[in-house]
Amino acid sequence: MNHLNNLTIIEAHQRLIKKEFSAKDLVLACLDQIKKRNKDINAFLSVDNQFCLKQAEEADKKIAQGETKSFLIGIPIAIKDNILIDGFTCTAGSKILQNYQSPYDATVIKKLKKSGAIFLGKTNLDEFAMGGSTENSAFGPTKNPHNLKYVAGGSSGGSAAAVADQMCLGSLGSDTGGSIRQPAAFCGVVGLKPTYGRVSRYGLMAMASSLDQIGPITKTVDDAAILLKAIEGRDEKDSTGVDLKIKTELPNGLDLKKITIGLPKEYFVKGLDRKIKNIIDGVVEKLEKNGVKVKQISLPYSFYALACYYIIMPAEASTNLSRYDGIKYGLSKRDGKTLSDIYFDSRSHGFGEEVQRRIILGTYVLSAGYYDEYYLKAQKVRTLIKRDFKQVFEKEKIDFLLTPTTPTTAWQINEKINDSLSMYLADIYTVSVNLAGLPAMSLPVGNINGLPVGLQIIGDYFEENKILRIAKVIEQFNGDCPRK
Amino acid sequence: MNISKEKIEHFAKLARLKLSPEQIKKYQRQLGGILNYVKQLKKIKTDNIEICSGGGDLRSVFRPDKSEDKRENENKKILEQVPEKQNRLIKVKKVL
Repeated sequence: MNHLNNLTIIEAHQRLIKKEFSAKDLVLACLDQIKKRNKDINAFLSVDNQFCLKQAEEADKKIAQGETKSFLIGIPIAIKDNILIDGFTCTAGSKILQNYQSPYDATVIKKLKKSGAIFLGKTNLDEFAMGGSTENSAFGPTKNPHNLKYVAGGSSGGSAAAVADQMCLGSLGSDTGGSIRQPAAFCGVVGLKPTYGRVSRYGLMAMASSLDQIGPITKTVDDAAILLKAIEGRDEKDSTGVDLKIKTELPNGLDLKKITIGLPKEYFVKGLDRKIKNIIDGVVEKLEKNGVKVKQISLPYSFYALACYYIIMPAEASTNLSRYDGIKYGLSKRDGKTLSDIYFDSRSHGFGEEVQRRIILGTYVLSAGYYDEYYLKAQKVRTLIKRDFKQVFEKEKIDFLLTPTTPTTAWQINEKINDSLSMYLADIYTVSVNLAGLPAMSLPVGNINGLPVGLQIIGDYFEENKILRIAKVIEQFNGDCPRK
Repeated sequence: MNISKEKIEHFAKLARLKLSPEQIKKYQRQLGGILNYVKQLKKIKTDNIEICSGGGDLRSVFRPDKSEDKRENENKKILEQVPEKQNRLIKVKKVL
């Protein structure tokens, strides 16, 4: 029964339904790994042994009764701690919500419960998903399983590290400017940000509502398809949801001779680690040898995406985070005399430094006198960034864009903690995808000095199935992903 | 480029945050750096460009005008976490 936690979702499913082992065995293997490794890695903020063992028993009963259709029945997964699971604490990595109990299930959780998935616990993140290293968590950084001196990336660093270190079979993260793809790249796992509107955000703590999406982090491309299929679909509780014409399916072959990929020249310039460029070039060459057409293309406004993002994101975040006021729930400092004292004291004590920085920045760009200069301008530039992508997908008939996920591999813990702008620059290849609302995946394609490298595959709106198919082709070039 | 101390204090007050003198100093420098970086957008001509306010192509979404099922259990759990209350009402301190 050893090392069942190392299995992929598909492998585990096939053996669960043959009754080679039980869901309980599988959960125990994961709990064992968490017990061994979490004190060093800090991927999980909370683990509920009793709850997940009870869920495992229920799954085993269902399997015994022949309920074996769902790929996720009896599969232990981890959930980023900004997504609500009824009865679980949900901290968002913040002191202000340290003791907050989720009063209901997020829509994605409801769906996963229906599919029979098991929740091991909640994973670490940068406070309110603000950051790219998980160092902004009030509960300590998550460390990279490939080298504990390095960051796991962020903000979904706990979810990525938990999958990379075999503590769970898959996980959910959320992605506002790269928060699924960047930690997936740093930890050597698969991370998929769906098209805006594909997955309901009801029960996800809002950061920047026009950018946020929930998505899967997994060991393989097939597993990403399975988790995405389980959580997608329109939900009346999220008005931005879209009726899906085509649901996600397991990737099943792709005629490479009919495929054209685009390489945006703006993504391969200075600032990109040469060794990462070489690895990406290697993947492109292999695709070309197999009949894929490769075109150099240009996304001229992508140069401005990061500046645009660092206006729109803090503006929306400062608005969303006004709800944490010490009145309705969460930390409440009540020593002062007036209502306004509660606001000031609770927020100043409860929010960490990065969150306060972004709230002030957002308040600044939204304020009278600066609104036109910053926020309105950024919204117009966002239109131009979107048009760039439209141009290449529709007019130039590009099927996918391939780029590096990040300009460098993971950095050392504390290396960038005092330099917020340099930390923000790590998002340079991922944010434009959120601004445009497109789907994109990070796929592990190599290692530099033992630290993983991610390839980003960007597809047209709602073309997740196509992304999964090409990702599977590339995954097979490389053999197994560089798992721990 | 640093932002003035007064501006940081003003925006912190609007955001209901009380900052320490060290924090103010740090944010003067850091926010100055970020605003300096985002200024590059000024170079772009956007005279006749429409604004993009959402991730998708959003349209208004409607639902029938009727109340949802009562979710009493949820309500109970939400009210349990209120720091100070009187029956089902949330209690606050005096406003002025």
